[in-house]
Amino acid sequence: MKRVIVACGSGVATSQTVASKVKRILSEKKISAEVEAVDIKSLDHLIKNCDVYVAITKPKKAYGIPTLNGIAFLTGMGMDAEVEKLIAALK
Amino acid sequence: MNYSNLFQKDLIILNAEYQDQNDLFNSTFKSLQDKGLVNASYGTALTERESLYPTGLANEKIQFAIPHTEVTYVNRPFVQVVRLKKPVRFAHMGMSDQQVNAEIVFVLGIKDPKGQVGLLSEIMSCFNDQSFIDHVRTINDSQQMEAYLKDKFGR
Repeated sequence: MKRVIVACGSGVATSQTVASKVKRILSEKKISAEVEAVDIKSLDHLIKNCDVYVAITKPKKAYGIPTLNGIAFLTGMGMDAEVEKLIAALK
Repeated sequence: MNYSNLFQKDLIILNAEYQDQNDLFNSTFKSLQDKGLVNASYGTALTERESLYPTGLANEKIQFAIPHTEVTYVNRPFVQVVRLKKPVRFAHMGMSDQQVNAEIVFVLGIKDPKGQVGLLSEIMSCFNDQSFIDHVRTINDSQQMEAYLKDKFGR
């Protein structure tokens, strides 16, 4: 199964919220994937097996996988474009 | 999930005026600490986290901020609501080169990330709702504001 990783500063609020939004969108679109919320310190370690990175903080380096703007999922501003990228990356 | 208990009138500050973000954090931290909701390191933790991972947000309708810390600094969960007379500048979440002039600040006391995961989603949908924004901008009594927020977040 494909894996989506969502990371924010502390893994406390924002990444959890965005992860649940992403999960809901994927289930509506009937796409199965694992979605995990982590704190940014664990990202380097955990991103290895992931297919998509949803970034809440500005990515400091490239991980070689599609990287989406997590803020869009939080505020809804520009979300449609990010959803399209998400679906494309999980196909 | 019902989040209405997180809101209480003595954590609602209306028409406040602060010099800047530091001034806001120092003064709101004191009232949180006095109530035993956070520990002594919370103030520093909040400032540090905000500078590393800013929490300013904006949509077409409003600019606001949701500062918070890691769970270790929070004794009991809460949401402190601060409505500003003069907007306070925050850096935008994930885009620290962009500024937000926050007119409302929700300081989030998160103690149980999994249990409170719906809280931020509800806050986000409220800030996309013009009627919510109008109410939060205009209610001038903290008791009425408490009642409004408890109702909004208690469903």
